[in-house]
Amino acid sequence: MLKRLRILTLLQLKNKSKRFDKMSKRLYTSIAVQVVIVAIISLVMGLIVYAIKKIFYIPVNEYFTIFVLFITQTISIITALIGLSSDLYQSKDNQIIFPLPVKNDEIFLSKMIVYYIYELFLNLFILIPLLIAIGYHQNANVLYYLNIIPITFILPLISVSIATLLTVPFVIIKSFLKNHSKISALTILVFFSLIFYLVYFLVTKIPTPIRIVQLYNRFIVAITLLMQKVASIATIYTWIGFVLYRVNFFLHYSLVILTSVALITLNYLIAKPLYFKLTSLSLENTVKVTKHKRLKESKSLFWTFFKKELIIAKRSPNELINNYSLLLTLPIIMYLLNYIFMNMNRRTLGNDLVLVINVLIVALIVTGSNTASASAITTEGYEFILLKSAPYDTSKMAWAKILFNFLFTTFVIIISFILFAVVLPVYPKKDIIFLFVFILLLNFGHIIWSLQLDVLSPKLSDYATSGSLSNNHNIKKSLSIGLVLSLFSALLAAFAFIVIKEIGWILLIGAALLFALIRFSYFRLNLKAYFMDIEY
Amino acid sequence: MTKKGIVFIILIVSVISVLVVAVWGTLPENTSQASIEKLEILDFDGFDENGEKIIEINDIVTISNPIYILKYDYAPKEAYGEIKITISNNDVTYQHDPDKKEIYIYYSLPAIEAENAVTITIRDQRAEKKDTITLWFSIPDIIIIPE
Repeated sequence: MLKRLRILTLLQLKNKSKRFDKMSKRLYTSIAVQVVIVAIISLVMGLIVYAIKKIFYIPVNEYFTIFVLFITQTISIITALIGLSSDLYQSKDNQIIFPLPVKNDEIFLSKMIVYYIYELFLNLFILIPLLIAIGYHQNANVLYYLNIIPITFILPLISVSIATLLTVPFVIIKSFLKNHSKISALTILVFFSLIFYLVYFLVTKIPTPIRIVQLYNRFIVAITLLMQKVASIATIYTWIGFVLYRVNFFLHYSLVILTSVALITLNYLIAKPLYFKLTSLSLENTVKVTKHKRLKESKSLFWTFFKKELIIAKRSPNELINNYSLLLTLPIIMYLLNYIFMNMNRRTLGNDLVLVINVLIVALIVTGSNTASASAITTEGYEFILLKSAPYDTSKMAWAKILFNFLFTTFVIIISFILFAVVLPVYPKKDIIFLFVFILLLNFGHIIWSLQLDVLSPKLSDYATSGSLSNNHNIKKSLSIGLVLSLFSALLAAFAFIVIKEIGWILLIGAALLFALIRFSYFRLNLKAYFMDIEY
Repeated sequence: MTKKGIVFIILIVSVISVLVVAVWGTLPENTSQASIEKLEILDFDGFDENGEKIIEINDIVTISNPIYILKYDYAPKEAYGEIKITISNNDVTYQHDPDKKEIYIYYSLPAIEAENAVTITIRDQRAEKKDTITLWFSIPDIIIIPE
């Protein structure tokens, strides 16, 4: 069994990294380089800890170390959970490993060992340098440094065991949400609403009038209190911290060992028996017969294409929310920033600066959310050529896409502005309305510009083969244009509100209207001239 | 430019914008308020032989709760002060919230284990008013068994 386990582990490790390749000639050079890297990271960590202690005035005591252990291991558990849930249950390796003459238990164990080694290396490069740096600042004695060695081996064991246990409910929930896209979309919306409520709740706790030094001071105090509180109740990580500093050494060491054994036993009793069942669940695709309403024929080609966009959005609401997730943060960021601004004792220049900042931030968020327009033609993939060959004016498809994207973004922007006006009634209503009009015009112009980029240079074959939009040049260009537009809008707003003042909004809205009209006419010309030339 | 880059820029711009408005867009602090006339630490058990305040913290500061919150107050309420704090033990650190008028005393593990007394002095540098308190871990009472 041990031999098979070793082979399985090495097989997976070799696939993951060249570091584990026995035949690699670079092995010794690689080890030397990594030792140097650990030393450099320790030095950098030392500087960070120094800044925490001397600049932020956060006490770097034993409870700070325990908090660091807790946070690094929580991150470790989350990353291991995400990685393990796909490696254990959805990995393509499974199709090769399962037919091998090995037991399911051995596959399960080998995958856990692979992750244990992976986490061990992560700890070597992050946690050990950090603990060394903290020890240096605390003038810790040699026993502290010696205790780091066994802890380095125990910590990944705990994080991988917890992550493996959590993969069971995680995979069940994930596969449920995958099969119920509407519930999944609703979950995301509820998540955003909860974040908004949390921000609202926290922000109202800030004493007014807001003074930035006091706010900073209170923030640092709150962080420190949280660190100390978490450190004193972090169960196994508190015990590990006590082991490091030799507080009731044998008692806490025994507790750590017992908990680790308990976690491994739980994995053996719960996760292992469910492993094969859950893997099968992820691999088998059952076909569900769903009843569809009879689709009505549209009278115009434009509405046919528009309906198509609606159907796609209805079928994959997750994708729609992912595309516009940045836009969903608009009310949260607007509220948080303006609550702080409104509760400062501002002078006239302060009021003008608040307007300029609002123009910049809202423009950045809105123009950063038009990536779906910059890839609207590309995402048609291979089907685009079939569509285009139809004996109609298929260029109307582009207008349908523009209308859909504009209506959806406008809907989110309206909700954001209404929410903002309701929860922050002290903000001048006139400015909210003018900002809204300005943003709508800017957004319309940017959507059209983004789609024009995709009309002129669609990546149909790239998308058809890879199915991915990462490294899509049109998206990058659209974001860059949005950034330049936002910066230009902020400059214009600074000129309009600080220098001209009275006709500030007229100038700004006029400029946005001109921009939207220019982009509209350019798009019409480009669409007429180049749409028919688009090839796969 | 990537979406992550834009999110990063938004975060940076948000932080900078708050600083910009705070520095250039706000009215100056009013420092012409009255000086502190009375400054005192609120929670204490009694006084030592030097007449300074003392409090026993055995049940408050433990290894599972290394924080002690020291509350103080001054009069008149609207006074403007420049409070400075000094602590007699290097293993004990503090943070100060002037709005809540609270000082957070953070004990390190060696400080809790050593159970040494810690003297804290709060002083208003403007009016030169001060108050002192000693936080101490009492030694368990000696039980006298009758013969």
